Amino acid sequence: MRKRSWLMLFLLLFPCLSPAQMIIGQYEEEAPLRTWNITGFIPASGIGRAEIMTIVADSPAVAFNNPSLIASLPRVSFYFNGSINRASLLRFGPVNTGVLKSSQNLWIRTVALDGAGLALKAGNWALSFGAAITEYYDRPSVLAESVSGGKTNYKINFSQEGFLRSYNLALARKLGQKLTIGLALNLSQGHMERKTEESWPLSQISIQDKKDGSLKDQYVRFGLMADITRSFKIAFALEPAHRLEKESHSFLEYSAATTGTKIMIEDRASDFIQKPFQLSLAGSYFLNQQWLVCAEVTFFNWSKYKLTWFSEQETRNFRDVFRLALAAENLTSFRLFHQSFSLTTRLGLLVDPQPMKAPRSTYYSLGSGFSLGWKWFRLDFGASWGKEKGSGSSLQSFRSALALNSFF
Amino acid sequence: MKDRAEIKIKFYLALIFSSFFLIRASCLWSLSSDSNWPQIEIISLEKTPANLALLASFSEPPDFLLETIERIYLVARPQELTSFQSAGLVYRLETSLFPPARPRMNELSLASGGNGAYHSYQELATEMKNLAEKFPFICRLEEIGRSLEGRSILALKISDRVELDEAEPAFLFLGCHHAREWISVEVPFYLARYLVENYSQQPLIQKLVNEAQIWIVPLVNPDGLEYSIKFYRYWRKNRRLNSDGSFGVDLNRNYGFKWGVDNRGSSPNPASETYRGPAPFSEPETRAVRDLFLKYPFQALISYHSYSQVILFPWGYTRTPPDKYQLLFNLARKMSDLMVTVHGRRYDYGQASTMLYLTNGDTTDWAYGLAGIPAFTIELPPVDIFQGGFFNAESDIQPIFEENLKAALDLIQWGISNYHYVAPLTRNNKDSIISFIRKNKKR
Repeated sequence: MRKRSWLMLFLLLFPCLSPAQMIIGQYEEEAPLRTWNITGFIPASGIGRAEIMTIVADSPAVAFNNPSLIASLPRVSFYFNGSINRASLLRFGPVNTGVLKSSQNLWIRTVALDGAGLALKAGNWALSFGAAITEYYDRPSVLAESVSGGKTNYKINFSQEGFLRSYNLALARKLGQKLTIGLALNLSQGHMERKTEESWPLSQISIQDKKDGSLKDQYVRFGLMADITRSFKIAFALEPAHRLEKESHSFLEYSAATTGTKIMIEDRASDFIQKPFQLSLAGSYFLNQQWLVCAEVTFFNWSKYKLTWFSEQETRNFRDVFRLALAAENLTSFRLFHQSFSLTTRLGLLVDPQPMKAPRSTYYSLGSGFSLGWKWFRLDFGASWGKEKGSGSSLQSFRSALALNSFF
Repeated sequence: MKDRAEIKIKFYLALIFSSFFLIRASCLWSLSSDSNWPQIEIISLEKTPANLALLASFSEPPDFLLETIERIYLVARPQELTSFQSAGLVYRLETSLFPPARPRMNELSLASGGNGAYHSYQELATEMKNLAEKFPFICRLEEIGRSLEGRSILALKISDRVELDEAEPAFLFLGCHHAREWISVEVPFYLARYLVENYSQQPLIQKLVNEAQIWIVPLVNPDGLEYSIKFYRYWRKNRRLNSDGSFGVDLNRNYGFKWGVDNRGSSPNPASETYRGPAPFSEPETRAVRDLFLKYPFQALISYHSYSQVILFPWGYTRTPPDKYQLLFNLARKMSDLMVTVHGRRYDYGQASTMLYLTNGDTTDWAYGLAGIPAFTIELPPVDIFQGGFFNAESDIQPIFEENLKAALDLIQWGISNYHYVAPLTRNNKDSIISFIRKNKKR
């Protein structure tokens, strides 16, 4: 389903160069890659629209964000989405926190067929089912070696990978001409693994430190959409706080081949990550038949964020944030080879403040994309580029996605 | 018509909310299924007639798990492991070969901390608090300072009439100056627990606790320990962000006696593992120990470290023997002789600079230099890097503690018998301390 790109980098062991102490902030172990603020699944069209997913019904993927929108889709619709994510990181795990030093940001890429779904409509009712990877926990892999006289004296290897896959079942109902409500049940499953391996090949000593956990969650998401006028719509989506349960496991092993010494220390715990309450409000307005503008503001209640790490309460110094997105779409059609095509181009701007109180950090992202429709099919492409300000690390993120939609 | 629409809306709302509550209820159900289970280990022994005879000699038959041609596998509780060791049974820990049927919980604590039977900062703080609450007449918990990242540096005072500052000899046991030396947290903490739990049963413990004030600080470097558990097992220093962007000051090079006297016994380079810091006592962790030391009439001190299996005494900064060399040597030899009687493990002993390497700014040089009291660094087992280095098997915690217990009790007894009251080195006589240090620096 998904292919992980391994970025192997050779780093210097000491001296280090990075601010702050143990509080990593942007890339704590459980931080999703790119941004902390995740609102379900964003397919290609959503990426081009600066991640506005609460108000425009253009794919069954909207069920992850605002389930009421599936009632506005055609009778049968389905989609497949594939995406590439790239993000740069500076401080994570033991990298730039005291052990390994990198003089520049490190990049990580994930490639995945990450979403698929189907929506059906009958009368005033609509139902959809979808599956998508909603969060990645991957970090750049790091390999550092100390070599002298052509022989490796010491080697350290760090890696972290993980993902959260969500299954979404949504139901929506039109209430009269102007109001639609929806409810989505989400089941999430995933895995996270962090590994540090050290070895002293000449002494035949090695150490392995592995922390991993399986993830599980069930939560609901409510949505509502109201047609205020023919050209003006408003919508909101709400996700109550919910607990991502984690069965944590740690395994530490020392081994010396020459003496046959093997020491293993293992631990297990039932942990949780309490995901914050979210509320999105959005509006869209048709300026004319060709132009649509939309805006979305999402509140994340990060100040109530809680988690445990091997049964111990962890502290994250987080604040509540409002994420703001603006987008415009141009809808047009043309004829080619005696066939009629529809073309939608879009452009969006996203202001995405991260929850850390210190350092204050915000991603500013620009998204653009297009949708090309022919008969019952539509191909979406979306790309976004985000630059982070505030942490002093000038982090960046790129996303691009391609989706095939079909409507009957 | 309007009423019907209202009923419909109410119905949908009820459906939505009942779904939500059903989901939350199922979450709560799965969360509540957690519980505490006793810690057990699976061990294997060679199937020899001698081992079989020894096993048969136990009053309670061991819990057999399975048998192969060459080995017998048993399920054992910690107390059984101890009796196996005492009986001379050689066993291999095999727990990791068997996937646990249920989450393994640390028998000593509410939290698991991610580091097995070893204590994390939170676990230790909880257990120290519990001890003080359970034995309020002989045990007091005190925060002697805070680490750079704001964690409490906790001390347990164990004495009769614990709330009073009596004119009794004081003894200080310190652990975990170096983050990766996990066993050095366990030995002083186990000592504290042993003293309070055995106070009412053992006349010797009662006598020592009644006649002395025993201060135990099992975790001097809490930030470093947390980093070692969570991010990098071999982390040594504290978590100071240095001027060059590197991290950490070696706390056992940051004390004020002969601090930075040369660059061999400590390093001026912030990235070095033995970086001494920008000034003596620049770190809140060493200041906390200093302030405690200056408050009470300490007669002896042990600072636990690992690894090497040696007992070290001052000086560390020079190869010149200290004035009280013979006394320190005799005390170290006595401790070593007592230790070997417990599990047969011999700790070597001698002056720090000649036994290991030059160190300056360390705890024991400072305590001896300042107060002239016997001060020892005990480098706990194993003996070398090939036996585990900074790693000790969880099953080794108890035996290592047991052999160190005898030594610690003996040192306390010696201190009580040789106690002559001297006013503690309080901040009120700071000037005399400074002149004392100056005199020593001139030497």
